Amino acid sequence: MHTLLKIREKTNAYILTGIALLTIVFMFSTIGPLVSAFDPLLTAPAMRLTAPGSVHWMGTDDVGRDVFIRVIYGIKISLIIGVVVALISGITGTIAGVSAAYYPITSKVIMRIVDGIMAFPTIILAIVLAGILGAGMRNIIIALSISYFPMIARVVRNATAEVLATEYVESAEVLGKSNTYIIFRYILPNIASPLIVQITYTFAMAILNESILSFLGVGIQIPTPSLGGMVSDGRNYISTAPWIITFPGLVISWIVLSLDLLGDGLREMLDPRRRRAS
Amino acid sequence: MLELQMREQNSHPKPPLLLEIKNICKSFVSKNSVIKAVDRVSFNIHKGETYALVGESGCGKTTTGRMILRLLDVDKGQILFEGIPISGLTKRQLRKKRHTIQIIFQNPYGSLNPRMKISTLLAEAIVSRAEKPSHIRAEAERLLQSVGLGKENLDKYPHEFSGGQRQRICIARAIATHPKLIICDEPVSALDLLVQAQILCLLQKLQKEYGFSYLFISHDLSVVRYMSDRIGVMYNGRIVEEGTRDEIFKNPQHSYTRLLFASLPTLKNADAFAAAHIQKDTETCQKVLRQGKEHSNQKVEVSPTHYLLADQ
Ligand SMILES: Nc1ncnc2c1ncn2[C@@H]1O[C@H](COP(=O)(O)OP(=O)(O)OP(=O)(O)O)[C@@H](O)[C@H]1O
Ligand SMILES: [Mg+2]
Repeated sequence: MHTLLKIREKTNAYILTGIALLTIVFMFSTIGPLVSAFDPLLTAPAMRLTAPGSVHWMGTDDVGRDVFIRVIYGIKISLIIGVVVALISGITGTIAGVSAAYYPITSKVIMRIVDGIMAFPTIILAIVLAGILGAGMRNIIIALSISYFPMIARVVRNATAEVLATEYVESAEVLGKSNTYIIFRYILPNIASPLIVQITYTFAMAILNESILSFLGVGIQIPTPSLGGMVSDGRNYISTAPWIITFPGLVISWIVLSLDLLGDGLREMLDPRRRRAS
Repeated sequence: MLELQMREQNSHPKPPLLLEIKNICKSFVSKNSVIKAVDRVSFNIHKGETYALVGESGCGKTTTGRMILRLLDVDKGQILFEGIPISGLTKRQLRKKRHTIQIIFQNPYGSLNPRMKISTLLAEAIVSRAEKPSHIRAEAERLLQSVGLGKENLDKYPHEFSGGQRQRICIARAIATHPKLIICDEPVSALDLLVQAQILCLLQKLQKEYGFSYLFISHDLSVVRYMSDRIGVMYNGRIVEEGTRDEIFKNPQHSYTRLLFASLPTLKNADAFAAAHIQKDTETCQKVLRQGKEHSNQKVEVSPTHYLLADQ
């Protein structure tokens, strides 16, 4: 009983920490543009490679742009990409997973595709897709969504198959409920926990991989600020102007860490085995 | 007057047929082997009657029940419900008819959607009825009360209840559609003895009140004796003996039926049964065994309501 309580407290601590860390990043990116007078695209060759100080709080980069305001805009782009990719792959993955669990023929086709996609390491797939589609925010979102939808489809398929085998679903069938009713009132509420957890991880992975794509030059186009792109730019000055790479790098870690904490906490809290025990 | 005439015309003492099962078969194909789960099973259930299927684990009782509910399709044979073959119904027709047959599962922990309140669970059953009542919540309260639970439970979730209470909720849900047949698949075997007795009493009380029939699936003979009007003994996918409760309990004929009685020390009077029937073969049984060698799969009548399969 005591251990159970402790786990519960720890779980809540994960979720709370994750949310708190995310809120800080979000506040930072909202308030930032209001307190900084700089333009993220404005170059000032005279001010290049200035160390952090009272004017440029995070210093300037190799063409004299303010790192602080670029990090702020980079966070915005990262969060947008993370949210949109998580939503798109979450929705398509859920539709694919549920229909695969419901209809055996669809299942064969969908799961072939999913297995095919998953045979590639996600980042390589994303790089190839981004390479084919071309750089730019929209294409990155498409590439990352295609890369992450299979994982969600698989999680949803397995969870749905588990729920479909339960007697409570049979009890609804015996009442003459339609498939639509059963999907919305029985399947989705009962697969919500693994789905939410997977979507949270997808959010984190999308942000991390956007950074990697931008770092590799197939992501967000120059000169639009992106965290990965800034890390990429900054690596040539790592010894002379370490602030260029440090601040965006820290922010990426911060966001990914907070999403990971949130995902772990949610998984613990929503685990049906623990819920049943309570 | 009309009623009297009808009674006179209808010389049968039995109420009309509700369910007719004719030679149904079901096999499952698993990795390079075929399991004949149900093999040429036939039986009838009359209105208001309780028919029990007994037999050891894995003999095909649940599979039979699932075919009647059309959760599984039959491989061969026919199931007639009120004279209509259920395998002939389209999906849409089936959905409209489904409320007439309901089920109570063995495991009360797995048969209620954990994400729904009791009020929703009952409401979705109530609206499946042919004619919906106008006050669904009032109807849900009434149903809960009729299974012995207070209306204050309506806004709770299934995990807030004990096994016995959950089984009561499952029962309320099953009767909510005004079914004509309820399949009880080992409805009390997950419960402790005292609760078992309460649930069985409740099932009987409700049957008197509503007049539906039960297909009562169990391997517990003491439970079956308490509940059933007629009994089918299943072994290896087949019904090896069928008769009224008294015929089966007082005069078991098939060697498997006797084995079933003998293996049940919990049954009161088990010793009496054993003494009376196990050691000495009765005349009929010997006759059956003799016949069995010649015609296997032959039905042998002991009485108009009592037969056994000479298949050994
Ligand atoms: N979906 C299935 N796939 C494969 N085999 C199955 C399936 N369902 C049942 N079986 C097999 O069919 C046989 C009969 O199963 P069934 O569940 O009808 O038995 P039962 O009489 O209800 O047993 P119990 O008393 O244990 O509930 C068993 O051998 C079982 O393994
Ligand atoms: Mg069973």
